[in-house]
Amino acid sequence: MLTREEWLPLARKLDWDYSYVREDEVFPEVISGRPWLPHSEWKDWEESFKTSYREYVDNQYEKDMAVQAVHDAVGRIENVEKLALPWLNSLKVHAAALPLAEFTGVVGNLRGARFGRDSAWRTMATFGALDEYRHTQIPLLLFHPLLRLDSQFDWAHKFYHTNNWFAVAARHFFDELTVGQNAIEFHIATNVVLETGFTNLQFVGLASLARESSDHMFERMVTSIQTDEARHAQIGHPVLATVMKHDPKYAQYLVDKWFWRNWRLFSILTGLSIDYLTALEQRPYSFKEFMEEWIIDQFLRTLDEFGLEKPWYWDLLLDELDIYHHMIYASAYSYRATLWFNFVIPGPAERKWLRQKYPKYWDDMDAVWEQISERWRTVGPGPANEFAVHGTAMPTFCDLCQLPLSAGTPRKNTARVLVHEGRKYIFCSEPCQWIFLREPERYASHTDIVKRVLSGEAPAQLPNLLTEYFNLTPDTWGKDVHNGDYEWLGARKDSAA
Amino acid sequence: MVITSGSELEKTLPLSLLGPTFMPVPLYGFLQGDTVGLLILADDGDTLEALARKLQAAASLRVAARDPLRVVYHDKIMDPAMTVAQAGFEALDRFDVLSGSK
Ligand SMILES: [Fe+2]
Ligand SMILES: [Fe+2]
Ligand SMILES: [Zn+2]
Repeated sequence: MLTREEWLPLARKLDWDYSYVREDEVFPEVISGRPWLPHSEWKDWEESFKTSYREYVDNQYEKDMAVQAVHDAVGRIENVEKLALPWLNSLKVHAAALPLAEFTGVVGNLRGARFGRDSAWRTMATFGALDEYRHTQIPLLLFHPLLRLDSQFDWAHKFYHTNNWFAVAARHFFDELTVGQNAIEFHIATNVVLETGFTNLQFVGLASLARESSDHMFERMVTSIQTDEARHAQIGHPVLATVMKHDPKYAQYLVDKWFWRNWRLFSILTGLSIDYLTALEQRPYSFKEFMEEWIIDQFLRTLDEFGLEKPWYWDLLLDELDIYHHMIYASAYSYRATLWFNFVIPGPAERKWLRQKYPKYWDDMDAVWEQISERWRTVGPGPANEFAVHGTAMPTFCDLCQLPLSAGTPRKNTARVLVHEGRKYIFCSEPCQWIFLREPERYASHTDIVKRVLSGEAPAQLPNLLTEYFNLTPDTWGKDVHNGDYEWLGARKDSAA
Repeated sequence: MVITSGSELEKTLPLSLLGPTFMPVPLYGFLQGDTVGLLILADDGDTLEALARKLQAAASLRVAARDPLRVVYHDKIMDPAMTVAQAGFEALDRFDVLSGSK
């Protein structure tokens, strides 16, 4: 019988020359990705884990049992009920956005498992697909039962099946990242940019917020998921190194494009969780501090390692760290009924903290919160007044990221109109327009929510838009967690000083 | 959680995102001080002053109305007495409203 050391390399590295078909028919460029290279250029593809299927199953079994044990001990409804209200709403954001996004990762990895260019890559991508199933099933298992506690948790299953504006944006991102992607771009964008670049936001950042918020179940879940990510993220590195060797400009483009697209999504998911949906005394750092320490520095090291340049929009991105997610949060608060979780107004203590952490543009944001607070003061608190403190005009969205036109600063919004082949588009920012213009055939026919409303595809009346198009109900649509009943609201604003 | 029914909502609030009647020129409006662009439906015959007021009203939850108003279109400050048609606004164009003295 062969020893492990004898059979594993044989099983992992099992490539052969085709005699009945051409190699480019087995691995067509359109689905394997470019640059198209003969296998001789990929044959040294390697990763360091070299796991066998048996080892994989044993390991995953252990991990699942550990998660199950934590679930039995602290993951029940009684435990979740005790969590602070803002954090509970951060959980609802992730309960919706995470599980089925992970499922699209299954599809992307399976593409690599078939169309990846070396057998060791395909083997690892098969494990990657199994990992992503796990990352779909665990959060569904943990979050969906919370429906008994709060109907907004229904969105764990529902979110991606709706035309909710945020679901449209998230789908636009994940469909391109994973579902409709070729193997090379998938692995660079997902493994190198998302899983190596941004994953710390979720798995270090969120995990520590969860710990501070005494949410040990969530902390355990993301930590367990992270052990899988750390393994299958390795696939992307040798892929990027090979693309870099043969087509460095294209490698740079893929990294620039995907860093931007990831930034847009994660600044919202994680930015709002850290700076608004975690109780003040439980925030270990600001979103910006976390980005600088865990994302920016690490990404620059990764770029260096591959001989890549900083993305051309780097200064703009650093500037956005101070303001973008704040503009999104204030806009989303004022359109909260269009979302499936509840919002909290930053009070005097929070605003003091935010001013300290974000001195550059906070004056402008503070004025916005003061104005919103003033509206609550005028109409008075209570659920019946929710819609008197809510936007009524149609908000607008970017034709690339599909997120609100909330970029730049309150003084100068950076939205830009573009006429392309007789059609008008609008983008939140220069990088979004740049991505569009690099691959217009990929993006041009997608319509954003505004154009759907104007064409009659989506209803123009807010109640109909919410219920018929965004799939919300009076039960599930977003509200102010306190319905405007804040102790500090009675007092004048100078208590903030 | 207290439940507000949909019909209650329609009774209490003017919630049509596009206003009571459809008007011909949908525009992207950006009010200085606001955190998001808004879709504003303009009549060809609206003066730019009236258009700016519409945007101010639409954003009033987040931005306090301030005078004087200036309408900026294609990087130019426009004459507020001009109509939307005279100014040459086309569907899905961007306009900005700057307000206050500053
Ligand atoms: Fe995953
Ligand atoms: Fe993954
Ligand atoms: Zn955008």
